[in-house]
Amino acid sequence: MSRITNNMIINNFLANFTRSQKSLNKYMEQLTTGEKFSRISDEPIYAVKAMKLETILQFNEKYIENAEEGINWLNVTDKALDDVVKTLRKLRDSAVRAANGSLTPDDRQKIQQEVLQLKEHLIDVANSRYGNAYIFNGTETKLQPYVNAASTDPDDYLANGSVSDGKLTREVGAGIIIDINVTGAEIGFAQIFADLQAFSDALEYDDTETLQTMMGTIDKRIESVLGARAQVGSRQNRLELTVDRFESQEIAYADILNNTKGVDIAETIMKLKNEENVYRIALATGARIIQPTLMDFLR
Amino acid sequence: MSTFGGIELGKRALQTQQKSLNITGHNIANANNEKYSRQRAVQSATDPYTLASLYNPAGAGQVGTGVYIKSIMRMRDQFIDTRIRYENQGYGEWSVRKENLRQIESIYNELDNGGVKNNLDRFFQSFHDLVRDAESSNSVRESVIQNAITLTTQLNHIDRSLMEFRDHLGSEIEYKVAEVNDLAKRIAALNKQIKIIESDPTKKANDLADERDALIDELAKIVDIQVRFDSYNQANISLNGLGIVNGITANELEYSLIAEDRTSIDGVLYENVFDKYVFSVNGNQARIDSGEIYGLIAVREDIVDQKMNKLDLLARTLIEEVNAVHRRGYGKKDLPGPGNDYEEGGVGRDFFLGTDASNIKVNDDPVNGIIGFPENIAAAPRTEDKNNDGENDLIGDQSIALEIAQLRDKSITALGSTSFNDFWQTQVSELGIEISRAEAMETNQNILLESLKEKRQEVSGVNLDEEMTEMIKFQHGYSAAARVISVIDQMLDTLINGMI
Repeated sequence: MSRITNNMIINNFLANFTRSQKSLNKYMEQLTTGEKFSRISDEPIYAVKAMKLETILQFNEKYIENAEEGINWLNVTDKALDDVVKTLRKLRDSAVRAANGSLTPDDRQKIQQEVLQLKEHLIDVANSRYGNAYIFNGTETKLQPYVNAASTDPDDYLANGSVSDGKLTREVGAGIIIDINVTGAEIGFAQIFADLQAFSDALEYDDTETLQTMMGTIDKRIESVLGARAQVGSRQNRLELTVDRFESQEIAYADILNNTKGVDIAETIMKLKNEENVYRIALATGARIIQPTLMDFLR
Repeated sequence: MSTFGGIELGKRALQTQQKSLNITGHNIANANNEKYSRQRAVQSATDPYTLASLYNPAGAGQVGTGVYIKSIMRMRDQFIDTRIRYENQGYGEWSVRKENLRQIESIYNELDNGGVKNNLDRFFQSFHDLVRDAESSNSVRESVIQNAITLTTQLNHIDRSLMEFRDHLGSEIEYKVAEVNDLAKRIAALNKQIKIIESDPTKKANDLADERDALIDELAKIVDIQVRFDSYNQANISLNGLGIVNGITANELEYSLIAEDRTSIDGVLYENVFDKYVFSVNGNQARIDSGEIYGLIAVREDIVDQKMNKLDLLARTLIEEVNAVHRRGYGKKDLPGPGNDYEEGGVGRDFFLGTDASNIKVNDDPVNGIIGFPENIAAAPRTEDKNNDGENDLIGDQSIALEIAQLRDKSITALGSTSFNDFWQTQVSELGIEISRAEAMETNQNILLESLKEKRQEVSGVNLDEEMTEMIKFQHGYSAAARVISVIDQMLDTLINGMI
């Protein structure tokens, strides 16, 4: 027959009591922090998964910031190009009027005034800035790309002898790089200014032949600006889709992260209650078993 | 039988009951003594007295002469003791492992916001910010520097903490060795006392044996010992074949530190040379395969060393990769001009200095460094100064900064074709898994040990109710013996005084 000794009972009681308190402590910690684990070794697999998700979420935020900045940049570009197209259309109207042979010198002078005004305006637009950066000077964002000149040579309009055709890039996803700028060279600003100077010169010297072709020239320029604008639009779309995608991903990942490391409060409270009962019963049983001895019954 | 023989018998009975009661008292007194094994008085009848008779002069009926205590027994199961010692080794090893791995975990402190992972993330993120904020003031560049300093300081700190922890484990090992030697000496001394007492075969050195068993249990927790008891009841203890207690002599367990070139842990080459503990007894090399010392050695010489190497690998790769890109770039004020060949291929400026986790730092050169010179962060791939304002016109192009930011996702061969972040997370999760395993092993060993200890209690433990019953039993025995004497006394009274 196996013997039971007083110390066995006490040790057992203590062991159960400690175990119960440990679980109570664990549930309390989970409920007060709202997290399933406070050390990696509590749940190594889940903890690392949670760490990975946190990194993904943080970098998604950066990618969203990058994409949104790209969108802003492209918005400024788009506005500028819109302005360019509108101005070129006005110039086209002037070209139509100028092509009409029965103009008085006074009329021509008025049109020339208008053309020069609009040319200056276009130069201003070509020097548009986003923040401190010139948007049409490629990677040389610090330098003003264009200056006014009374020349029909496109190179004379380049403020620094050349415009940069460098691409400004933003990472909008692991390894996904998008250009956010359109360079002045792609739009052909210098050529437009030279053409406009030619237009103005033709008006001044009544060069009917040039005036006749001017409408076609301007149409060509409008076409190429519209082409650039379409490109800007499609990049804007792409970036907007990227932002949308990351934003919905963020919700999904945040949800997974919560499932990975967050505590199911209802479940944990149930477990806590359960453990609390076990704890109380352990205490009550201990109190009954430990106290009485034979001595209480001996006279 | 002589006239007074009965009184003598009664006296012996009284003495025997009294002694037995004393033993019960000893048991009760030691009821809460963990080391104590309960004792039992073995009562035995004294040699009988042969009564000669008329018809059978030689072999008449034998008359009993009472009782005496033949021996005092210790209730102990040697088999359970052996198993407890064995399981104690495992328990010692795993609990030490768990405790110390926890320490490494708290050095890493990875779930906290300040973990290496978070600082790596922040470091790379700040380069993204730099890409977006090329033209503005130096504030973004300053934040890149601050994030880099936080990262390097943390790597330095972890490296130093691991080194200190390694030293601490070393002194723990030395302390445990001293404990082994102390225990061995005490066991040898007890062997001597027990041998002297038990040379009288009727005597058992029960309380001393309890003391010695407790010491052997303690010793078994520290190193993997084997125990043999010889015919003099001396405990001879050996450590994988080398005697550390031989009868009444104890042999010192000695340690020495040898430098070991552990440069190729996991096939990665390092200049780190770690030292290693070697043990010997009487000049013979001793093997330790289990117990607390083994646990400490495993943490110190496998895990900490490996973690330090991996940390160095991370730091070194970070230095190499970031510098390789950064050298190709130009800062805000790196302009082409006389006396430099800045035309192509970058300034060649290092972002980080150092070779491993212990000395990695952001370039703090007082002339051409990064700290204090935010404009020196070489984020642009080219340089020129057309407008002669003393600044690089091309800083709008931050593709070098972007390349550095992209290093985050780059799979790097030196790191086993993983990214920085994944590499570090693998380190952390390996440690976490190692700790859970040690925890599970410790729990298992503890359950096993507790159940064995309960078995031991079943045999050796004192049950107070049982002792109370015994006490009443001996009390009654004593009263009855006293009664016998008093009856004999009355008889003698009749004989002496009533016969006149």
